[in-house]
Amino acid sequence: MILNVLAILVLCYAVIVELSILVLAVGAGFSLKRDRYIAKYRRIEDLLSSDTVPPVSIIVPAHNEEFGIADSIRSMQMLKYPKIEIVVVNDGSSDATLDRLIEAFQMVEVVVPYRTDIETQPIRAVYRSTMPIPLIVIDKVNGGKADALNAGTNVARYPYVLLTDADVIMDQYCVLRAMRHVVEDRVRTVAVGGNIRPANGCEVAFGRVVEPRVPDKMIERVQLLEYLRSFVASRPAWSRINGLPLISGAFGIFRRETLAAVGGMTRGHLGEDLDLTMRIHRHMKDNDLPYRISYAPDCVAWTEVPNSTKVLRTQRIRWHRGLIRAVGDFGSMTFNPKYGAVGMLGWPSQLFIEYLAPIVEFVGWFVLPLAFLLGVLNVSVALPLLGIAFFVGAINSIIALYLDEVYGYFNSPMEALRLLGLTFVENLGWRQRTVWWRIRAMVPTREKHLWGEMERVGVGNLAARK
Amino acid sequence: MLRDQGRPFDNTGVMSDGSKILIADDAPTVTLLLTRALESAGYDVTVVDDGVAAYEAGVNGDFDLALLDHLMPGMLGAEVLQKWNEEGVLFNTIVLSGMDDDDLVIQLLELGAVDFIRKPFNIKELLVRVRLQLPVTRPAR
Amino acid sequence: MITNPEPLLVALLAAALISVVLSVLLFVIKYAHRRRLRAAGVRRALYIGALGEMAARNSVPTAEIQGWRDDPIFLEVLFDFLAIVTGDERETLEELIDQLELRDRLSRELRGTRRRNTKLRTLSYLAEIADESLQPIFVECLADPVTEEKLHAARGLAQIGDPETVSLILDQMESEETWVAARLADEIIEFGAVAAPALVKYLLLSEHDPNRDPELLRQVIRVIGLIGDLRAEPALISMLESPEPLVRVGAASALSRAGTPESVPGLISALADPDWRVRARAADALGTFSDGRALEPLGRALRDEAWWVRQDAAKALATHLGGERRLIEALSDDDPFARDAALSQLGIRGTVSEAQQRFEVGTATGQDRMILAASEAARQTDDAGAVA
Repeated sequence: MILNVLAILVLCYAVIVELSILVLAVGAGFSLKRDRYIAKYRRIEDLLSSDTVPPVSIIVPAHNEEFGIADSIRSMQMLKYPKIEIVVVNDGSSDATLDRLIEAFQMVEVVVPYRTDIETQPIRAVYRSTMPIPLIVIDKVNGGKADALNAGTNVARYPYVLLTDADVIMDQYCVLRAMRHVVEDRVRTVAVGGNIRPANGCEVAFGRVVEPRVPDKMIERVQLLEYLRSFVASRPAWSRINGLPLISGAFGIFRRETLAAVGGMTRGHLGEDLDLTMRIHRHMKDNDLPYRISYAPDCVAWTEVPNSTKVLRTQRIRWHRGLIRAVGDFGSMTFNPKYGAVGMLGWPSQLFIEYLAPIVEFVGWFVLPLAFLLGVLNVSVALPLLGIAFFVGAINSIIALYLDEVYGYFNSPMEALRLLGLTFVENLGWRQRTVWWRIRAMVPTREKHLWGEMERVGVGNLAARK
Repeated sequence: MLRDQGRPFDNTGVMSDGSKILIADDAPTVTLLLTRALESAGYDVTVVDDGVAAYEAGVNGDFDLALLDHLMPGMLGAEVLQKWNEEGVLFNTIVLSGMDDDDLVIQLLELGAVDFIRKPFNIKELLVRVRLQLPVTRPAR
Repeated sequence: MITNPEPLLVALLAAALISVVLSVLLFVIKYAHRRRLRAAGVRRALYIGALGEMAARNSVPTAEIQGWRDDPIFLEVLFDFLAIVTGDERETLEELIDQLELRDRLSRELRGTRRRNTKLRTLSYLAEIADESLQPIFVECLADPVTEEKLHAARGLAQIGDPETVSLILDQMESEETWVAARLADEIIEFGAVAAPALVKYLLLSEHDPNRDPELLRQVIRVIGLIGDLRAEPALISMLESPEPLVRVGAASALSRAGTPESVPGLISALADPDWRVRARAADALGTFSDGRALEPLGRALRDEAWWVRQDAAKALATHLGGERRLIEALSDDDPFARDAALSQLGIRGTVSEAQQRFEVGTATGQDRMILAASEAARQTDDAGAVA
């Protein structure tokens, strides 16, 4: 019966998806292994005093960040990198963000000529710090995160810009480790992505993660696994074949001239990081320019992930809507050999694993029970398939945990145990809930607050929450 | 256990005078060496390993000299120096650093650092520089 | 259509089994790793204490430490200390190294292993404690295809400091990618002045060789500049007129460190170079000599079309003994870019804020008022701040 066939097909799809992820994870494993022994003795510190390392402008969009912005900037000053400037963009905050900055860093208004390479909302004023800190603050009319980043890029002086968020805690060497990829291939490297890890549950002091720990709340732990799968067990593989479809908006280094050439980030796009990365791929390939987009697994940036269902839901719906728009924009790149690895593999993975898979699963929720109840389901095929999908999914997560071992972040065996348990339990409801949200995202609503007001606790106070 | 080669450590020729020195650096190898060297020379040493503690110690403590690293967690050495200036602390500061940045050197000197020692350092030389920067007459304690 | 479900069941069982086995393995690995780390932390603290004590007392111990030399953590701590001390303390540590026969042991380990990890580790240590006996090893490893090994080997050779080996490194640079050549060049800097003759010779030979890679030349020039040996100056001055822009850029850069007032005329001509990078570097270099001949040309460079050139010219004038006056004059220049460059330097130097202070206290001079007026006018330019 059709229903049976449909049910089996749904299950086969699930198995194929999990197997693809498995291939990615294994590929990532090889890629990481290759880099690991070299990284240890790379004497990356030598790069600190070498002038082969290009200067970087860090762009930080700030909207109503009065609580933690000063600490965040201070932690960025701690970065071990020869030449950095920090460009904070006050995106029309309604709170005391700007005042906080002016006070904390003794800023005075200056006149700084810059090029408007990218169109943005008007800039009201530019401030520079009178302390010996390379800090610039731009005060502008509200335009959203993408607009703020674009404005920052306009004013930035250096050839490379790091687009990040205000509440990201960066590891001291992270910019250096990411820029290493640029140093190795200055001509072709146009972008480098970093490894994002949830900071929830970790002990944070003085703008640094002092003690990484697995968070207590289930909702945070599940996200931890997701991030590990995505960053540790998948991106290294994409990076090797230059098919990386997504550089996270929390930490991405871009060559300024390339950013300007593609018009910066798209205003109002809910998945602006995916959109930007894909547009760069398209731009470089369309214009036949040799390039590569890299991923630096040892470049670690920590960020606070949602710890309440409400905020998480908002975030996931937002991401998925961004993905939907991207699917529309980049559909023509799917399986298009002109676009190389990203067209044949990277982008399709987003399409089939992130976009279509939830739809298929949703269909399965109805088809499977229905077929079973009607007695037409071939149980001896369906059940094993279901089981295989389940266990291969668990294996994927376990591999991610394995690969993460290299970095030694979570060394407690008890924590490992909890996470291992989670890899099996995840499929009993948590993943399904995410799928449901994605389906919801496809229904256009009039929800305006998609950016969500995450309770900003500030970088320095993350520890205080425990 | 250790076969001493019998060389007295302090050869700056100055009698130990109990001057109080603050060391601010986050690398345990550095602080250990400095502590041992300075204590052997007769100084009273306090060690902190981050910028905030350094600032507080400088303001609240009663030091005659500070050895300050630039790259520390919490607050950079330059910031600590600036804040000390604002508070009007009385002691001199020698900056230690491994960063090879000329601009940084100039900035720190302009902020009032009286001397700048790059790593790797020569302990004997460091002791001489320390002695030179300690106040010649000390206020009654 | 629905085939025999047997293979599916097998696959299912296999998947289940693998996942369970992997889980158990992971747990065990974490546990073992943690214990190892704890123990390592304890040992590390012990070594830091012992070595610190040793260095501070300038005394080399006897038997106890022999047992430690096989511990990689001990070596790590030892080399950490080596990196932060010179003088007597370093001598003490070197004595220890001799006593432990570390060079021999590490060399043997290096030769006897095939594992990349071990090779890199031992080589990096050997590079720190290099002496003539190790030169053959470094020369050999210099030719290794792995970049990191090359770099460590070059470093070792630089520590030894035999000028004959510089040409070996230069040979390697020729056959390597740009960034590797740049890193190798970084290592040559460690040679110091002894490398200068070999480098200069390389430069002079390359003038007549059309096949030489200009990027490579630029690296060599960069190194010469960083070494700062004045013997290179004549060659650098002549390189200012090389047909290759990269070479001219490098030469101008290098002269800021390895130059004397002899190079000022050449640099002044370079201020008119068609490539903006050369002009910028020349301006920057001229800032290091307070030479009167440069005042006028630098003043003109304030009107350059390239932002970096204007900034470097302004910076050069700011450090020049007679330059501040020229900058203040530029505040009333009819070229808005020149005004802006001058103002930004004066702002950075504090001249503007000092004028402001004097104004507030009532002791402002005519010049102060002019400075303030100019900065006000600049503030009121196009609100969007955008300048082409």
